[in-house]
Amino acid sequence: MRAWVVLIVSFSYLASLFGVAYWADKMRAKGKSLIRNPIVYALSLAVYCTAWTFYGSVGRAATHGIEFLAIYIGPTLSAPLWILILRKIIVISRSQRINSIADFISSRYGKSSTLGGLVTIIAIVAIIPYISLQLKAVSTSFELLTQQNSFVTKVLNGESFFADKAFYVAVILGLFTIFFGTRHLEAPEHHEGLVAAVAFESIVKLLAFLAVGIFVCFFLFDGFGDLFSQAMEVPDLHEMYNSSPSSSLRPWNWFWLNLISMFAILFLPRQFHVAVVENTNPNHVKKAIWLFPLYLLLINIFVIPIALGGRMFFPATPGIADTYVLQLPLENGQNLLALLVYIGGLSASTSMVIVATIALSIMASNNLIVPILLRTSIIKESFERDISSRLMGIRRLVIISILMIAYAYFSSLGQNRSLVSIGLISFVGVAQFAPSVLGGIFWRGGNRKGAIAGLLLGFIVWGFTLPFVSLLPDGATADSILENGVFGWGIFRPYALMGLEGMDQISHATFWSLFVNLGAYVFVSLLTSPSALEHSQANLFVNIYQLERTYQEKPIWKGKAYLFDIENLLARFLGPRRTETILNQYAAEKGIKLTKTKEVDFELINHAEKQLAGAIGAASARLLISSVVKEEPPKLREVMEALDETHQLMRYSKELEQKSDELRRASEKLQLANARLKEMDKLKNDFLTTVTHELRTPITSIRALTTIVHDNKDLDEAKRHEFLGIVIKECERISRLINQVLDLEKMESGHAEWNLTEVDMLEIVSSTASSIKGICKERNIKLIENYPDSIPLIIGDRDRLVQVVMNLLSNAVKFCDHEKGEIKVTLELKEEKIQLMVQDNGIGLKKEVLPYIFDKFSQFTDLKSGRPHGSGLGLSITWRIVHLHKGSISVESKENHGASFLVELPLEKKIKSPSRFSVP
Amino acid sequence: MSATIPQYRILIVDDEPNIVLAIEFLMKQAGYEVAKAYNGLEALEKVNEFKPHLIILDVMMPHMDGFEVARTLRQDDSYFNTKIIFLTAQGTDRDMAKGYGSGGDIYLTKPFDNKELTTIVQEITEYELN
Amino acid sequence: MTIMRIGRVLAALFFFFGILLNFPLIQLFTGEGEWMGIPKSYLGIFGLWLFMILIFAFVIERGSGSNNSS
Repeated sequence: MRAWVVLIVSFSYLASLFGVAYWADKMRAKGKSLIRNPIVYALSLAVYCTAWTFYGSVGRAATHGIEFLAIYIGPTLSAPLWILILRKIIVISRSQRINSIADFISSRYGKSSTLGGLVTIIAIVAIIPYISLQLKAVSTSFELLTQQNSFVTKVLNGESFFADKAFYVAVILGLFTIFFGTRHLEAPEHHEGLVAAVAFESIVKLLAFLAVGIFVCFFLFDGFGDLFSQAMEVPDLHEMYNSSPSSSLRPWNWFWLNLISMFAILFLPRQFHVAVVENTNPNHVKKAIWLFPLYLLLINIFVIPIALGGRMFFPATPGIADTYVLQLPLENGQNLLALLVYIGGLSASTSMVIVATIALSIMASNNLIVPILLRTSIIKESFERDISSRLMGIRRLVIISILMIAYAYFSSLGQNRSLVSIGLISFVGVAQFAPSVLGGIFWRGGNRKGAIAGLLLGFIVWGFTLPFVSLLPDGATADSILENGVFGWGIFRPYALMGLEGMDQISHATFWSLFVNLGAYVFVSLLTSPSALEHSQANLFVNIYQLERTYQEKPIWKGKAYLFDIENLLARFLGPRRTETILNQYAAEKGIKLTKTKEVDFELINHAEKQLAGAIGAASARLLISSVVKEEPPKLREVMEALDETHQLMRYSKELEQKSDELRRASEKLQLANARLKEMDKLKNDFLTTVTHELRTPITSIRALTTIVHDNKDLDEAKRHEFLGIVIKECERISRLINQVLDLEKMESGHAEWNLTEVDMLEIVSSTASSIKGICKERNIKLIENYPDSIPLIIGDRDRLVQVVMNLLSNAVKFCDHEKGEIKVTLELKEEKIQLMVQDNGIGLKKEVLPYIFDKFSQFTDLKSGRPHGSGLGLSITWRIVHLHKGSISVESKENHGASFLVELPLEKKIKSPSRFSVP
Repeated sequence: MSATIPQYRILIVDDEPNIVLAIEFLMKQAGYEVAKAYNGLEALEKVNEFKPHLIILDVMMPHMDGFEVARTLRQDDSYFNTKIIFLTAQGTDRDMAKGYGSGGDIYLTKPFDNKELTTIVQEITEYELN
Repeated sequence: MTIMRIGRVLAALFFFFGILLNFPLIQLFTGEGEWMGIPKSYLGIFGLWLFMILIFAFVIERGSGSNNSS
């Protein structure tokens, strides 16, 4: 293909990017933002797929099998954690107006400039090579397209022609970045056009890749099946993909690769930028959790087929596997497709470079340059009113510098440096941010010194185990160091630290750097104490969700400042117009008026600090604000007290809730218990009342009658006899009552003594019946007895059972008809139960009283004579005895038709009792 | 015994026949005319028949206690002034009786002292007849 | 479901798939064998991958039914 064709296409494409970006910005200005939806958000995350995906993956798949997929599966695997992690980071960042990962870490650990600077340096060192790679990819693919035949020659000769191409690419990208990344110093850094362009590029790369994939699978071959079966005939490939254990899946490599990819998706500066800084709505994370992995899946489906296809097509030169995506269409005359693929690769590279450069430039200007400037008092004492454009200029300068450095690195690269390994080296580098960030959002104990220690040591170890070797000049020194370690110290071999062998370089480096990093972070954090600011920031970060709801930002600033000063400060960095807007908004929200000469309180100061931080970073903002606020920030103790107060409040209110719940439950239980006690009390009272009444009555008559007899010596004999007879009876009545009460009490409380033996109910009933025969004769009562010949013995207390029978019989005697009394006693065995029935033909009982008949003291007045019968306890005792024998007793009665009592006792044993005549 | 105060009639109401027996003896001995009732209903009937000047009334009776009898009685003007001696079993009943009396009602707790009962009845009688 | 609850469910899924996707369990999906000419390792990994994504989508979309998140 002709070079100028490709050039024109390239430029057109880039121009279209400008177009998209520009259009998006315009829409935003109109208020109709294009990018505020989760799909665009997810697509912007796809900036993760760079030229590496396009070329490197295929290369890797062709030579090392499935392993490369870890780079995409890792993020997929970690995606579900994004709600807990990424979303939290986003919420925190919005609240604190964080504009880069360096700012995030710096802000968390007490708005430390040192930390910000350190993170920036690490990021720059790790990412610049990565940017270089993209430049290389663009130029290589360009070359491939335009001079396919002499590609190999050019590669071997390393002609400067390449270099020029890359240079121009760098310049163009720089322009683009500047144009869309540095329009204004916004807080937060939202660049709609940029995000739109990135999303657009993500679509382009996906389509391009799918296109070439489909081409290879379905045009060069007859579908997946055909392609794979042919491929598996190549022993090399078979070994990689179709054997067990697959040589392409090495356990530890797989694991570490997944792990660092999980970190990379969040901590690569470009990723952090699109995922956190450019995020418009934390809830977009939800859809991204599955949309983004889906994207990764789709773009990877054809990687392996293409790799295998390439291997089969170009069996002689496996080394160019990286470029299969271009070579395959080209070799088959599909120039248009190749062009499309080239554009796809261009998309992938440019999106990476732009976003990464913007991210790095923000970090560098805020965390390296501005702090230095501040410290050298250049800005502080400058009389320039508006430094905001100055800052903009600084930013742009940084962008250009970064790109130039990247270009320089690229030119110095040997041509044999594989894409993949550099990419992975970057991954491990940014993985160093993991402990500080993750620890920062979950562990309030993590402090600044710990973070610095961790980052520093992690960085050093990383540097030593990975890029260090590549920077050594080739030759003996390098070899000897690899073999024997630095200065001949065996434990300091770059690829086998401490003698840990057997892992590949990446895994080895990951392990050691993270181990040292995490260890130092935790260790130092535990051993040192935080400053006041660190403490409050930690609280803010870790508890962001709770604090969002309940926290009133406590005065971290104790001092006051003049509005005049604050306004000045803001205007210098954000521009006067923006400052005015900010202040007016603030006043409107708070419903107050701001006068220039007045002092403003901490709320406004905090607000101003945040706005400033959005532009120049938290650390620098803090510095500047503190310069205009009159008092020192509060001491650690005060802050801690203030925070602890809030904490205590939160805790107390939780505890209070719990306690009041407990209290409620306890008081409910108490009420129940109380009610029950009252009931029992009442019952007891009733019982006592009745008992005392029952005792008082006979005592009254005894007293009255005996007094009469005593006072009237001349009382006639008959009367005296009558009265004393009554007295005797009443005494008996009393003692009977007392006995019954005690009896009942013993039985109810379980203290009764039972004399359990085998008893013969037949014998009991018949003998008791005989004992009343006398009275029956006296009162002309007919006694009818109905017994079987024998009845099985049961276990029971004989005396008590006699008591029962006696009670029933005596009641019958009392209540039966006065003239023609008739009592029927029946004993029979029915269905495993002994049944005893006692019937009388008296006036019977009213239906209403039947349920209460076995209650204590329910006495039934013989309506005729008006006298109550018995003590009222007899039936209660009977009832209790029957029940304690596990039996039951019931009564049936109709008014004027007598009453019939039925006792049922269950059988325990089956033994024939002796016939009744042998009863003694 | 001859009824020395033939015109003074006393009605004795108690569900315990032995107590009624004893009080009957005492009242007769003191010369009064006596009628007996063993429950509330019977008492009210007897009041209509016998028209007593004084009722010795047991408080704790089943179905209709003494207070209810007293209340019913007081509702009728003709018996409004009939004196009542309540026989109570407990001290607290006194409180309950408040409001039922029209002044001059007496409360005796069981068991009572014969002498005391007789003396009170005689005092009332003297007062009444004067 | 509240978003935090979704978050916890997903975290559980993370652990689940994390174990599944690492050694030794991943051996189940890779290794010898083919289906219609396509090696088991390819199908296995992509199949599992797709499955993971679908599960995440299911949990999230179902969980946010009542939450409107724009």
